[in-house]
Amino acid sequence: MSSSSSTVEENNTVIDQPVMVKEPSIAKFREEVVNWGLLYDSVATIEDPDFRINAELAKLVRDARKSIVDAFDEGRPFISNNYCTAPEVSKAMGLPSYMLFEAPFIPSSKEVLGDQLDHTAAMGLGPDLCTAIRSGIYYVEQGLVPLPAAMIGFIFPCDGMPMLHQVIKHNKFWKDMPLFCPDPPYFQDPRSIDYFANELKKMVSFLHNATGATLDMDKLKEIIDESNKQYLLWQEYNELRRARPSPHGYDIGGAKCFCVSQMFSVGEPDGTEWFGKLVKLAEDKVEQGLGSTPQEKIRMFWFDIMPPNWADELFPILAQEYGAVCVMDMFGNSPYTTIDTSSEESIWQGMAKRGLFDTPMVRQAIGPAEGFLDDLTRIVRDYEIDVVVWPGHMGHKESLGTYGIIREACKDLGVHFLDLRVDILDGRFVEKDETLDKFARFFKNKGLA
Amino acid sequence: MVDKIEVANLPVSLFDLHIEQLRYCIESLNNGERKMTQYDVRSTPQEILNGLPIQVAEDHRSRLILRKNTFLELGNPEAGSCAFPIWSNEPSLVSDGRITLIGPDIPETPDASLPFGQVILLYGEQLSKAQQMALEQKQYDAGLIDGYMIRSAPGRVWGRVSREVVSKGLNFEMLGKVLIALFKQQIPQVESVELLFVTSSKADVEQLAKIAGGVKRIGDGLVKETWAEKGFDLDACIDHDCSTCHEVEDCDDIRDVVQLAQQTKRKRKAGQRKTR
Repeated sequence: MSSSSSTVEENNTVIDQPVMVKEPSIAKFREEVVNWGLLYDSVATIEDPDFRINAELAKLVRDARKSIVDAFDEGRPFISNNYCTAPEVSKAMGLPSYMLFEAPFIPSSKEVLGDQLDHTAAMGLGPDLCTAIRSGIYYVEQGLVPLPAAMIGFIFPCDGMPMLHQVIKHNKFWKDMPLFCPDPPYFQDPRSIDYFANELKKMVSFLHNATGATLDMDKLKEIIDESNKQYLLWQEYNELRRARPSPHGYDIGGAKCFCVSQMFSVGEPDGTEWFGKLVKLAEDKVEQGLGSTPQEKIRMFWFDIMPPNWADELFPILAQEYGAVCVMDMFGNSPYTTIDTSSEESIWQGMAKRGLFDTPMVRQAIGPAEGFLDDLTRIVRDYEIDVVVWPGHMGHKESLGTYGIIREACKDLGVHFLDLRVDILDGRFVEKDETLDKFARFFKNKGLA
Repeated sequence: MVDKIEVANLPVSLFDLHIEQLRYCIESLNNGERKMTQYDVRSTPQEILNGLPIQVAEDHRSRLILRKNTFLELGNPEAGSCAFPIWSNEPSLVSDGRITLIGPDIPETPDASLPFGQVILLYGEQLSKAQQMALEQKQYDAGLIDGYMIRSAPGRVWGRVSREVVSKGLNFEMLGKVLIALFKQQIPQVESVELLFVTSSKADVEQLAKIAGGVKRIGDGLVKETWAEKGFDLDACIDHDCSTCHEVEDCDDIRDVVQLAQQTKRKRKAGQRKTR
């Protein structure tokens, strides 16, 4: 396989010289490198293997952050990218990356998120705009994230995302930054894969023009081969969550597997090693019949992103009071297929399929409602779900459109359906006690408590 | 625009053409280069289930198989995988109780990751689109065999077989018998069941996948029709028919705003030119 960037239709904005901008917004990332490092240093002292596997993530987050800080300090380009736009590509081009709207999902933001969101109201943003987008806008406007050499935009799956790009185009520091948005087709068919594969090739040309970096196809193959290992281990781990009792609940697995494979350790052996440890840990627990709670009675499927900032105020109580355990969630679901790296074309097609059909939120929310239905049916069956919890996140308007269909499908499947209506990021949107009360009344009315 | 299947315009027996294609495919695979085995099952569903040396979960819960207890895997996506049910209202198209295996059997291939094709052919005079979703789900029911796990991989049958169940005698004949029994027992409209298993090669499984594409498109159309009859449109706005879309007012508003913005921009530009 030759080392080259791919030939594509050239219709992107071409700039003469790579953009290299320095500005002071790197401070927060520097701080995070230190803090994640300190957390990782404490891993050896943690005895509980469940706590330890989570704490070991600190190294992967620290390393990802450090790659940005190092690039900044050394004057090398780094970019802003997304999980569904082939992060393997930028990795293979040697471009460190971060996601612009990731901040509210990272535990270190929990304490300040409320104030930040209040500030976005003062900035004039409507409170009905998805919290993740509002947060991303806040970080750009306040200079809390470093200006990348280029950005891969994220215009799917939700309609709110372009708002972030509009803000960027009006921000005095960010407005001249090269921006490219791969265009996602609506349908899930072979034509869409061909189309999106070509969009990804355009993305390579764009990144080359914007940063000077070139794509080494051998390196890309190596990264994808490693990422294939991660996805297979994730799949293996998910099989183990089908056990009764499920080895883990809300706090391990799911979102973490997503973060490792698609954000912080894309196609890296360190990430694969973490997955290997996770599988071994779960296998041991399954063999010993150990669950996340001593008395598992109710198995729940959380049909959205797991709330990163208030889950630990809800799920431990549900487990303790009702034996209710979250055995699967939308980001924890792993429908990924491995990418065939035998030819360049199969690599592009595989990455297109992964970005369009496999990645969470995109998989469920883009295209007709069939995607939601298929996943729901299979998960309810495979994980022996008793209750489908529909968080109804205020920002996921595209999902809310399928509410009636999902409720009806749950009726057909004979599984209970709980409609919550929360903000998965901002715990203040609905009082914790109100949410707990909803669960309590629901479990009682359905004869589950 | 994606081809839309207008199910109402298709012949009564929707999949008959695909069944013919499947017969042709089996014939072409049976050219002496591959091992082909056939079984004919004449027992009733209850006789089948009572006579098995293995357990089929009555609680409808599938059992987990750990990596270290795995005898082999079937249909890992890397090895090749394709599975679908297909049905007809024409009795002559389905050989009731016939199980055809093309390729090696389970006990012959320890520690292997075999390509896997599983096609379930069904006949029932009363079979209709109302059963489409149930038939699609039922194809995963082999996972109720204690020692045979269907992995949770959407849209595919990716199986894992335990060492223990192989030592009790699980092979494709037995797997097929269980599927025949479960389909007949649990979907009353099913009168005949025939099974095809392919494990010979990824290329052979991919031949089935070509037929599966057409079957899926029709199957999806049937599911959409069933949902439409319940009052739900799975396609939402994809027909691009603004006259029937409930979001038409919002769209019109957006168009107005865009027009207004463009007019303002033009005026501003014109004003700038005048100033110069």
